[in-house]
Amino acid sequence: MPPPTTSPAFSWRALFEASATAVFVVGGDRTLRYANPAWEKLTDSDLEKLRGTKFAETRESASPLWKSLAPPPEAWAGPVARVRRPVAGSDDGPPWWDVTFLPLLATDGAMSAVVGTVTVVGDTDPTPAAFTPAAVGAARSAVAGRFTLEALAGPSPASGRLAAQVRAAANSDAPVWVRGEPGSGKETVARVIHHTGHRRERAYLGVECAGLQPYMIDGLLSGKGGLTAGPHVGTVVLKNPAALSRDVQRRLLEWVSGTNGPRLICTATEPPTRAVRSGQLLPSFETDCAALEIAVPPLRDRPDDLPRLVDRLLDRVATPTPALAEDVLPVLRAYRWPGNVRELSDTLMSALGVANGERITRDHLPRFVREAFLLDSNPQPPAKAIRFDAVMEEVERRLVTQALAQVNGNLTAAASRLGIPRERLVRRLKFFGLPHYQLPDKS
Amino acid sequence: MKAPLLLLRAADDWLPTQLRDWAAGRKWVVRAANQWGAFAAAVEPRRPCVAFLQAELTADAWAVALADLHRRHPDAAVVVVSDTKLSDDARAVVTAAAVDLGARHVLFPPITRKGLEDVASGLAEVVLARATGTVKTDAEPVLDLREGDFETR
Repeated sequence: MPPPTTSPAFSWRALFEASATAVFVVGGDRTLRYANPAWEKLTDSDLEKLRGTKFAETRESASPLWKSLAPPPEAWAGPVARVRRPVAGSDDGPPWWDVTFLPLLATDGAMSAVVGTVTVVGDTDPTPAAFTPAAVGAARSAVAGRFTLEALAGPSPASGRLAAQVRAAANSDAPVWVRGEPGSGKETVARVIHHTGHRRERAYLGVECAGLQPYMIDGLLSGKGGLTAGPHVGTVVLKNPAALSRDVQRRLLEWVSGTNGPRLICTATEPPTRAVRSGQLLPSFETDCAALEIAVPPLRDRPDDLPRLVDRLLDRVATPTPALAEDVLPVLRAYRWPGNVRELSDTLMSALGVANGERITRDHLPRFVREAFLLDSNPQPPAKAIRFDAVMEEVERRLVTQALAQVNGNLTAAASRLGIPRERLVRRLKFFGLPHYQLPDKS
Repeated sequence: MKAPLLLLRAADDWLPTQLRDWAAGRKWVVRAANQWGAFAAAVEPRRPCVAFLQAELTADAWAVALADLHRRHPDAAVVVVSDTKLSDDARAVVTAAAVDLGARHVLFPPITRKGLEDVASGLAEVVLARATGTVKTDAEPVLDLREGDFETR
């Protein structure tokens, strides 16, 4: 039998109908156009009833189940998007769905449809069930569900670039070097790469290289019951790897390059070049371990992301999400956030505590944040122009006076000390209105 | 910055006794949260925190508490301390689950005071560096010409 793609009578519909993979098509107008029986079974819904129903622009709740399959904004932007969707509230449903969205462009370049496929991700973790109660698996799923590409998306161009870089990194297996200012979200980026990449079934291991002593890291990795013994770790994240001893660096590199080794992600404030040149870091970290470099932008470069970030941070700590007064966001926008997202998070948590369950208003924010807003809204008058000639004359007058005092008023000696002719000194003394006669010799 | 916090969830007095001197020497606030629900709630914003969570790791409450703390306070450094000895396979499995949920380190018996103090000191260094690392990197150069020093006529 010839392959179906070469047959003129090929029926794509029959192929999808017989497929065990859930497939669905969302039209350019965001309505559901087609879904195969596997999709209907998975979502426990009837295509005939849902055909033409519009998906929301953003992902909705998982009830009904099919609504959680809304294509994300990045799918409508063009590239292939992969997201993980936890399916809550389903008694017999899977722990989560991995959905791949393939955009279809018309000949005029317009988006005509998005084809989605759903893969059910079961419990394929090598963890023996006896050691991991159901709650552990559920907690890990919940953590994975928090770190999707949507966690990084935002309206600013900087976050758009970041999301695109992270998507590319998640789709590959190459080592990644993530750099950014303190608090900018390097670990979140590393988590998203791990939880959206194909090693997500295994564990995410973050190593605090700057704090833990080498014997502790060795114990965790290669000691009794260490993590290097089996395929438990999917991604190892070295935070500031230059702080590790070269011995430990070497052993870690051997581990990640071995069979069943994890993917390597390094996070630091700078690229590896300087640390390699100073000898703190093995050269392999620059050549082999920074195949992809992702720069996390500081918060001050993406103020448009603030509303979304604030919602996400507040949603993280309390249910229902605490309300925010309208006057808060302008104040937050005026501040420069030198501590980046971490400082924003601390500020919001602190304001939440002060608000004590009520709506968060501007008055609940710390004083230094409010002051930045006041300064911003009451700009200082322009600085007074520097009067150059007057300043230089004053400098010259002081030098001349000082030179005369040092040589007891002797004009010739003062001129010599200043490196100018005596006549010029006399002219300057006349100009300044200073006495310009030769003082009598005291002797 | 507020005084750093050493948060302890322990089944008995053993763990607090081991770390009492360490915390007192560094003037750290020590807080015990033996109820699982109170564990994450004991951490405050702007207060660096190292937490020790001692538990029976083949039960499930620790995972929920750890995930909850990591969700609300991702910068708090949590060390999971196993109550019981486990086989090598079980240790690796449980360690992988704990680090995936956000633990920075996992300890199994036999546990010594030095081991606990080393882990606490190492992670203290990390959380303090994070708390004090919020320095401005975009400071603009200052023109140091104070007009008051150049009174003109």
